[in-house]
Amino acid sequence: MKDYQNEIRKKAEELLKNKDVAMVIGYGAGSLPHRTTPIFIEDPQNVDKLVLNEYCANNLAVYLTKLKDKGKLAIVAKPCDVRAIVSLIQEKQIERDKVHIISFACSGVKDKDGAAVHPICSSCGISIPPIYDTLIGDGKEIKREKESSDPVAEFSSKTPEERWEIIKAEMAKCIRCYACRNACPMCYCEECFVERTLPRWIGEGAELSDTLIFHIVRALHAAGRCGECGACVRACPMGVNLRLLTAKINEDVLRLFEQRAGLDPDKPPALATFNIEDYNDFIK
Amino acid sequence: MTMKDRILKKDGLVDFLNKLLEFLHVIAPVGKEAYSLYQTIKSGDEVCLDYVRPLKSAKEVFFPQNEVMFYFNQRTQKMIEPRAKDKTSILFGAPPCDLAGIAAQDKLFESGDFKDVYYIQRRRQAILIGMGCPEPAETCFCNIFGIDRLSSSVADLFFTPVADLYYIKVNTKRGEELVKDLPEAGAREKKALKQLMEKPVEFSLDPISLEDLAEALGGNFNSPLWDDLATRCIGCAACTFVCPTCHCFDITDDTKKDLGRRVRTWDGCMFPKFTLHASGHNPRTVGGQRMRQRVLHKFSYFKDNQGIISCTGCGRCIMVCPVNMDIRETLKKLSEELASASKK
Repeated sequence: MKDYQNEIRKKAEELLKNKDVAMVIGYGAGSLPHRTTPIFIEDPQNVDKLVLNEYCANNLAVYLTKLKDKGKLAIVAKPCDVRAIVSLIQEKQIERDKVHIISFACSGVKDKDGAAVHPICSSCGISIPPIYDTLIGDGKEIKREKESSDPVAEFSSKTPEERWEIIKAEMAKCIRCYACRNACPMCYCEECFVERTLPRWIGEGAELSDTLIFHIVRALHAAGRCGECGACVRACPMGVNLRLLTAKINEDVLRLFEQRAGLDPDKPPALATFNIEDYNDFIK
Repeated sequence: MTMKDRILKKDGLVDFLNKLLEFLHVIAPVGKEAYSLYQTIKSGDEVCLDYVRPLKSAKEVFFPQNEVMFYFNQRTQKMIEPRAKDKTSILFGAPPCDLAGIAAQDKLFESGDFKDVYYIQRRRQAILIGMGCPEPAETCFCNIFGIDRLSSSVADLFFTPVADLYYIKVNTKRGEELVKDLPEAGAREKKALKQLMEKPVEFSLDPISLEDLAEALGGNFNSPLWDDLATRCIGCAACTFVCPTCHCFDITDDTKKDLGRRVRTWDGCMFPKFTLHASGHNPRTVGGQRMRQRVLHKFSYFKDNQGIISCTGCGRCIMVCPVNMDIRETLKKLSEELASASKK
């Protein structure tokens, strides 16, 4: 991916110089060896600060909703990030012509320790962006090496009781810092239900029952909208494997509605539409 | 009378801890998957000292994230059950940055007009056993605060790993009670400790003048830097929750019919709703104001109020930040701004 860095800089410079966009949201050098950090470029002279490497883990689409008042935004986005952008467009959070997507075929990004491709990426089957304005590189599909064991399939194969115990053990690590929610581009609610006090939905602090409510409600809110970028998993300071919840729900949505979020801008999100053919076996 | 230093062979640590466990509650770093956390141990072999510092700081030992202050009956308006008293406990294995964090919490919760009974009760019955930090991590910058990674007077006992043993500095009588059966440190061990302490170690951040920093902060209240930083910040509380000195909390009542409990929980100044008033007014509506509050509280207000800076350079905030915000860069930028302003 490093080869794309120069092309991204060139494109960013062109867009800013021509005043096609007000700002380019991209990755800059991080302060630690295996990290990058989001940067926001308004001056074409600063495009050299843009980097692209295997540590560009953040999903920058999270900034689109926050910065949309700046004008048209260009964004450096991996295919999974583009899926979030597609969902944001579908949900009318951003307008298609107010965002310039710079994307590329992605081989996956590495874990925070820099050792290996993140499990989220190694199991990802979508290496090319569903939509883009500028495609860097040839855009050819890149096959990923699948994980030798599939922890999500393993989780799915368990009984509901066993799954409940696993989820409880995972969530017991949570400190309710909301890094997962805040790193997620799809969590754009101005007021999250956990912060409502009249009435109060859940207790403050990290009591397990409250923590579980937070994560389960958040995961269900993301059903059919989650672009599987893993921003939540990577953001977690405590190493909570949120993927078990998100991947299971994504799998359910795919099985029930034959749809994956953020792939087709012309198709409404699975849970935002009704079809007479939809799965309804739960109505007895 | 000065208390004699002791030594303990590294391979004797598990037995030493097991002996303490016979009559005391011990909290120590425990490895869990890729991380270690301070947890109550049942056996000495659970202790994991492989990491520079546990993922979360030691603050929760005395100031837990959730704490029931008391129970009450809503109808009768009576307190129905005082909270249970904590037993004497030992905090083992805290590195000097965490011990400095405890010293800052002590100032806040124990001195001044408001004495925090919940904190004091836990803190005063506890015996602290510190642990020297073998090698700073890439996020460590305790050096700029004058914290010695190999010693600390905050702890009752301080263990410094020297070759195949721990050199134990005895700081208090309570501490001495625990190690009085161990052999005394001889000239050879003292020399080895001295050599270790004199060995230069590189840190990630070159020392910066803290006086200059205080001045820089004073002159940077309206700096555009705060808004710049806040653009990147996603507004979670990972940094504040892992911080050894962040101490803000919220108090809520959990009720079920007539029964209720008053709970205190951690809160964080990076949350937009942290400062929301009951009137609906929020004095810190934009991220830049929140970012400024966090930095100024640590490096300026706390110093004004308590006499010390409330950052210990543990680097946890740098390590956990989902978007790689780095407090060291902020400090450097502030110092640079000051330098360029003084040139003008």
